[in-house]
Amino acid sequence: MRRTTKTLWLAVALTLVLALPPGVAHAQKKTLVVALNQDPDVLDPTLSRTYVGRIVYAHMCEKLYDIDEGLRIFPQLAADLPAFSDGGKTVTIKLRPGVRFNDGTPMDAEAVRFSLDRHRTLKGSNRKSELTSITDVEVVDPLTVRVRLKTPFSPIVAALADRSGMPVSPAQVKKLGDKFGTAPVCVGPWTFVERVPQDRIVLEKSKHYFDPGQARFERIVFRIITDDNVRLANLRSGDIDLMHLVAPTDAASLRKEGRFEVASVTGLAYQGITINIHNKTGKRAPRGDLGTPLANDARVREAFELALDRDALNQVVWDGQYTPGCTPLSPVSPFYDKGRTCPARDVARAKQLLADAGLAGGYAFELVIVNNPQQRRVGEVVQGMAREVGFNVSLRPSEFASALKDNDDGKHQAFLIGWSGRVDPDANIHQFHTCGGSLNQSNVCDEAIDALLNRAREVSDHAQRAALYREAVAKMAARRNVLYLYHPNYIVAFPKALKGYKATPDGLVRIKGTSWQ
Amino acid sequence: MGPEGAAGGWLRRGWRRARRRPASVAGALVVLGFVTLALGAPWIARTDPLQTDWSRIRKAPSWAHPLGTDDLGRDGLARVVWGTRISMQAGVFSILFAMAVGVPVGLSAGYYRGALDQVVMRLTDAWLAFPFLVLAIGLVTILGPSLVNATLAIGLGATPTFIRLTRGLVLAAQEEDYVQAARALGGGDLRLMARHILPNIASALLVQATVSIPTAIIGEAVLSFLGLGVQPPAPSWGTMLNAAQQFLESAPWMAWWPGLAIFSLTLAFNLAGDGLRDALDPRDY
Repeated sequence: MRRTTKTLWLAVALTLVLALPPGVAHAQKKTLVVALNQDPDVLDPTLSRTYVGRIVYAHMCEKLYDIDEGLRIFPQLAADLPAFSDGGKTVTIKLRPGVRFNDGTPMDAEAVRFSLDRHRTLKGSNRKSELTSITDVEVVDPLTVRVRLKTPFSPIVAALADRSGMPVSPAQVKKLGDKFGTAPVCVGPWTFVERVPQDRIVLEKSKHYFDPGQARFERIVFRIITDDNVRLANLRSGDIDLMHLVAPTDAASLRKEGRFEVASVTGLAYQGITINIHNKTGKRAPRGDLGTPLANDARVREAFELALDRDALNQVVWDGQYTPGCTPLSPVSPFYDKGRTCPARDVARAKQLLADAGLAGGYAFELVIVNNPQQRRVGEVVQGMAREVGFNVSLRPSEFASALKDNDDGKHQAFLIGWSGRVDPDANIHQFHTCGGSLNQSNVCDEAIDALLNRAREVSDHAQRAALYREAVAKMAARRNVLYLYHPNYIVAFPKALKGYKATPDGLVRIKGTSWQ
Repeated sequence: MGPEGAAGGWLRRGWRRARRRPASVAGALVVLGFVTLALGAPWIARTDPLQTDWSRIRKAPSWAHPLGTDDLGRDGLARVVWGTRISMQAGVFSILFAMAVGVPVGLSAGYYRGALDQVVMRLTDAWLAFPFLVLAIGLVTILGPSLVNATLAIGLGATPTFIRLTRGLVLAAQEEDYVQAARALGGGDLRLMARHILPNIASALLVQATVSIPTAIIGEAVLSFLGLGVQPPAPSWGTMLNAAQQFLESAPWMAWWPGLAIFSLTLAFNLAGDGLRDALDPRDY
């Protein structure tokens, strides 16, 4: 009898728990599970390259500066924005007092100097190119660092608002050496606990963080689920709490369900078609004559651009969830030229241009696409639109790394490729469009464009820089070595009970400050 | 009994055996149906399978589009019908290629034996050590993605099976009295192989071909699914499934039809192949 009563009470309790509204159930959860679409590479801010890695860092490796929803840079571990002196060649950074690494050691000027030097000099560092302008880092006092530059370089602040600005614990680096990425220690509301490759990364609340109230979850678990459909099914079943990179075609159905908040923000990234113009044997080789109308005749490139309808492409492929664009700068960038309109589709004029170029009977060329369903769909839409004008575009799918190498080596006529985008416009433009630029796969060179882009690096006044970029972008648009198509949106979904989430255009998920209602 | 009577007897015997195996008859009819679709594609699917209509993307089946439309607004029926032609081409031609290479090689190895047989068999062993799909994917990656290269790769993957089978059949046939008699009468090697051995092992090779075709069809679908086979915008069941995987929830019909087509054609070929094997089995009276 007693046993029966116990069982009865248990049943009642279980029924009550199951009957609780979802918000109440969430409130009990101390662990937040975030699903990522890729496994990050090494978790060492100096060495890492992946975008998903930056999402993990956002919780355990804070930076000297960060950006807000409006892409404004604000001090995170620094006490204030940097002060420029000596004609822009000296940058003075004041640090926030009382900050400790997650191993309890102090995060002071010496640690920042140590970290910047590590980023600049460690073998295999992927931060070197972002910090090449730095000649020296000095400790002025325990809370002040002075950075000396070769020449004035405005993008340095944006670089310090990313992995280059992440101080790492000198004690942990000394302990682990080049194995730092196996147990990274930085400053953050959460600290690293464990990593199971291709499965999960676990963080727990830091005991040393200077603003502990911002970390409302005891643990964050990043689960790696590469398949979009599986990630979505896990969100619906409640196995994950936050889904990163919802497919645009799934966003509408999630919104309809009413259970989930779907946060979408236009990102800094772009997708475009890079056209090979002078890259015959390699992007660093002397400029060559490819002998093709697409490379040699600007009218053919203009006809191709006029064949494209960016809005229709966005509607068909991305359910209208992305943002059409025709420049390397996203509309969310403070440097975006609002006065600029993209060329509209004009089949008649495109045909005329092709005829003027002596190609009235049509013109065939190959467009390389990265071999995945989304890029294939974009390629097929481009193919269909161009066909109406007289272009016979054949699509060649290629594995990503091979495609990048072939593109560098000048083996492509045209390549559908994007860029994940950076806060400062310099990183989205300079290396792609200057003579000998590290990512100038078209091997184009125009000294007038170089002069504008180099000048934009030196001046720090926003209006001046914006004007320089406006002029440079107009020249690049006329050259058409890259036909920009759209800016992807970052779409994140989570239960409505999760409050305080702010979507930022860099696409990083930031759990800090969020909590269950 | 005259020739007509013999033919009548063969037909009667075939019909009697077929009645015992209705599943094989159904399989053969389905294969026949797909062959009709493949040959009659221009007349059966009146819509252009490449014609995009941006205003009708991912529409559910309707009178205008009985199998719905895909993610680029193309007619599902037209793409499935034209996809049949591609699948049949890849399936049949790859196996014909495998037979064209494998049968003469196996025939020579089995007939001459000795060092030639040893070399051919060891190479075949090494060849067979590669899983079929891994070999096909590797070859297409080297040759470059296209329908022709996918067909070649699948054919090369299927070749060792035919070498082994032919060689084994030749070894058995060589011991038969009719071969010994032909040899005693002074028949040359080529004549013996072409006129006496090959016709007597042809039925077994035909059965092997019918059971290899579905594997080749699946192979083509897999390669196209992975982006290594037929290239857009050409319709292939594999590429259609690849496109559909993004829309399993919002437009499931995009996956239904190519999936059903692959399933039914491969099943039908297997059933028909089983029936053919039984029908050609000389022990079954």
